[in-house]
Amino acid sequence: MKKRRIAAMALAAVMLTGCGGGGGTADTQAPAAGGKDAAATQEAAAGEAITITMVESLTSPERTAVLREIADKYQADHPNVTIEIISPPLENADSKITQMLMNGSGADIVEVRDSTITQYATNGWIADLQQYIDAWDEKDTLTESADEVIHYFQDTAYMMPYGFYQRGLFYRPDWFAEKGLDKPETWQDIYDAGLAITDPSNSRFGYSFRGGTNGYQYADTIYWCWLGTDKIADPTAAYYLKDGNGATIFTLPEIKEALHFYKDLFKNTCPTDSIAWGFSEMVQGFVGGTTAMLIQDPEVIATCSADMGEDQWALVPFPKGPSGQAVFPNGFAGWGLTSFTEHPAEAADFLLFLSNSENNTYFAKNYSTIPIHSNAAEKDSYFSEGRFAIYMDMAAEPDVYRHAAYPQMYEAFATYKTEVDVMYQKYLTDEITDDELLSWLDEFWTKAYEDEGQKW
Amino acid sequence: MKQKSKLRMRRTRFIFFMVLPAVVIPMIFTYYPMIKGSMMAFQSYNLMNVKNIKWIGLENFQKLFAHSASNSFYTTMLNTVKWVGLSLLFQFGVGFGIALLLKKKFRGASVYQALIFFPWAVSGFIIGIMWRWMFNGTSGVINDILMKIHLISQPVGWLADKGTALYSCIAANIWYGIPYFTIMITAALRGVSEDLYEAADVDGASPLQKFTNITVPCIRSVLLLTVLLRVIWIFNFPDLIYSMTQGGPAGSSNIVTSYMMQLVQSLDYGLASAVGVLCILFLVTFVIVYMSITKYAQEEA
Repeated sequence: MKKRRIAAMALAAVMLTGCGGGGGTADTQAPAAGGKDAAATQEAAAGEAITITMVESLTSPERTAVLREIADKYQADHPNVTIEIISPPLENADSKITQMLMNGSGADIVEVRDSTITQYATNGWIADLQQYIDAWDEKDTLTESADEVIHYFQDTAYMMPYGFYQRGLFYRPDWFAEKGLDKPETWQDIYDAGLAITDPSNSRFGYSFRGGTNGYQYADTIYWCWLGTDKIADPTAAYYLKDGNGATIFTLPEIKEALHFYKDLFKNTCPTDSIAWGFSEMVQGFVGGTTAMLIQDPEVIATCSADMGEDQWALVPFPKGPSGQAVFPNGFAGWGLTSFTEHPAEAADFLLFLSNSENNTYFAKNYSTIPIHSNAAEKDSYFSEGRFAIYMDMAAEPDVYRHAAYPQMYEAFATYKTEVDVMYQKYLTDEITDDELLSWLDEFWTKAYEDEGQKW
Repeated sequence: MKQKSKLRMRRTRFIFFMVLPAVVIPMIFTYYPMIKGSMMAFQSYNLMNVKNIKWIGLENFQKLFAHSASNSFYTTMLNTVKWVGLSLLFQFGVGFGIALLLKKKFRGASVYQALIFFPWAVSGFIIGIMWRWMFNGTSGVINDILMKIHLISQPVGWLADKGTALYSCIAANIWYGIPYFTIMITAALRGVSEDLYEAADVDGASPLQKFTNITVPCIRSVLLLTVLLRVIWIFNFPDLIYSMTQGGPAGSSNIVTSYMMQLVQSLDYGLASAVGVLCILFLVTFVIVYMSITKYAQEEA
């Protein structure tokens, strides 16, 4: 016991002298690293050793390595700060984070996603970042999308996004050439090309359908492409009609038409077992040579590059609907500061360091997300050339390529998410009719509006 | 006199302190969470908003038994019966058979034994992922084999069809559970004295007579116990279903425990806890009935 205490004291002494020695260099290097929150930086550099714990959600070994690299860079400039990155297994990372947040300890920075921000903010688990952002010298280069997301929930700066996931259409140019087809630009093109290519006896199908977890998101994008965004109340709550007092889109004839298209697409151009496909099956279906088209996030670019020939895949903008628009969610995720952190200033300083133009661009490139600073393309030509360029092309035509998302700010959304896929599967297997599905959707969201009011 | 009572006091206190950990530890780590968790069944306990937790009586249970298009709890309960019944029947039958075969000495018996026991050592989730790809409708190996031996003419979406999804999961579960019965029954068979069989041979008993009159009665208690434990385990084993079908398509392969996992994911802990309470009630009733029936049979024998 006594021995251990002496050892601990010795260790503490070594650490103290260690950071004393490093403090001087940190002061001189801090401005170069881009941190304007000089007061916090200086205080931290001069102060005692602290540990900042960061918990990530969408983990992968490659991504953790990138984060570690940036954290090491920060630690080199701030020798008294240790950044600890916790990476729970992907499948239940969000519930792990929820547990930590409920406990009120053990985390300073957590990964916040579009699907979790409502829960974290409603429960008061994450803090307002406004004062830190106001004092940040890189706030002016943030893109408009980034600004929107920072204030996503109740106009409070609950998170700093690290990037966006926008969907594009991956297709097989070699198969298209075989059949003499042009590159697909609309949903109708997808359907027609799908019909031409589908040949079950050869295990070839048109489209990688997602009927499993989160399949409803694909039905939603088709609805919005049919409807256009003009009738929608808000891009973040696109189930509701503009000035509708809580009336939903699910009663409109366009939606019914789009739903029929969705079912035809599944029945005629997709493998039957795709009714149960989730992310990995739909990607495997495309990469493994079963399906000719796939709509997915940019992170699939890396998988295609690794497993397919250069002439076997191409990435084109999101398909348009009869409205002339291509509407899809601008999926986002980022970092939030816990409301109970003991080192808010230091943790916020690291959070903004992670989000500065240089580090965010580096992160976005290695993790295939769309960066949050408008000068990213100047910093790295990766974002203006090659496969990734379609996202810049889409951004250049904001009237055609528009964003809309499911109303994730409603508390009812958690229940919706677990029930909705089952309802679509029942419709696709003819257990319920189109009217039954649409009236269920309409009732669910009308009730949510009654219970929770207007939340956008 | 005073001395004696003092001594007894001291002894009582000693016993009290010795017993204390055995009482306190299960209280803290088993019964407190269980009771606290069960209380959630009667609350509106949603992690979407922990500031708004309140008592709502039996509302969660009413929601479970409500008749509506989006409620699949009735299918789920029926599935659970099929899942437990069929899995148990085949696991037990095949496991028993292999155990009887392993009783005979043959060359390579130990290698064979090790191979049979192998699946038991692998995590349920990994088994589930493995079978999910084997049953895959487009690139799965099971379709490939069935087509090569001309049992089917085109690929079947085993996990995508409402008629086959649950049975595919049961098939995987049978494969996974056989070693359990083989291990337990092989061990029990080793304890049966050879003398009994030799005596039966002298009396000219047939193999079937030896099986029903010697083997089964001798290992009866092991059989009863393994079946009881197995029922509880299969009931509480959503891992395979969760990793193979997530209860789909359209809720057609959900069992009660995988359904509960989905409710936990929807952050509605109150509703999930209501399912949990029903599970406990069901299992306790089952154990009581099972025990009384088998005890009755024992007395008759």
